[in-house]
Amino acid sequence: MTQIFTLNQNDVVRYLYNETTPQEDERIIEALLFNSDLLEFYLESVETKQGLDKVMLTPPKRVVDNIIAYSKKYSLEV
Amino acid sequence: MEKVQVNDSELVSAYIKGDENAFGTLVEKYKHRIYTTIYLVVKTEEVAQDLMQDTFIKAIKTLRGGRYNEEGKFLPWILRIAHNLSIDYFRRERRYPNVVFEDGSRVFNTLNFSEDSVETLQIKRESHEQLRSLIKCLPEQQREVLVMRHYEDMSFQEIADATGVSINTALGRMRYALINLRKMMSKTKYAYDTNLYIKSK
Repeated sequence: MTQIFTLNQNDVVRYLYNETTPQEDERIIEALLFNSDLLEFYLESVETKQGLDKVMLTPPKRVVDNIIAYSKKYSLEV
Repeated sequence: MEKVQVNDSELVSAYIKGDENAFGTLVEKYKHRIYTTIYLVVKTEEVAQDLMQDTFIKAIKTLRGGRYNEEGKFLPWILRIAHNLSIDYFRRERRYPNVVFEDGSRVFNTLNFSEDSVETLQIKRESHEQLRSLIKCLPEQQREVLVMRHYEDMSFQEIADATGVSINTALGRMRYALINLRKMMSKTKYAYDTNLYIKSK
């Protein structure tokens, strides 16, 4: 008996974050080819994820200096 | 001169034995990741800076006190400290997201752009700032999952366990976070051109 798998956007989210098995990958890729809504969601999510990758902030140097100074001071106390 | 690559486990061991330079290397290596994670939860720079210091103070005490037992997994360990402190703070303050786009944050935003015109740099900078503001506008639960998955690199199962929900709920929150970000991006006429972005190595 052939088992029918229903893929949804949650599966696509797992796929997006590399949490799917190779077997699931095959089914998802196939679903993306035939389901335009799912494909649209996937492509938009990829784009959003790429944007998120670029949101990276730098703390002020003062904060980093304080941390380093604290570590040095702490090592003298211990 | 050949540069010797030292892994986190070796750096942690060296620091525990008293090598302050090893600690400095770890701080430099992960300061962006930790600071971003905290900031996206607490949403204000001053608090994020305080919590960043608190995170490292806690880490220093644990490492120097001989209580560190996750050798080789420094980043997930310290991100967990940062996350817990951020969530503790956030829950104490309980601020809901009527976020105003802020401009003071630009001072600390030193994203690496290279070989671009001033105009392109400005477009990129504005895009990043706008996206960062949009993340802050997400409902708390969605933002929490997004930060945990995307910036703390926790699996959906780990997030589900940590937040006391099912994996499907965690996935659903992430899905809505992505959808809502997308919607907000289009509403704010946020033209997100991926060609502008160079994939970091």
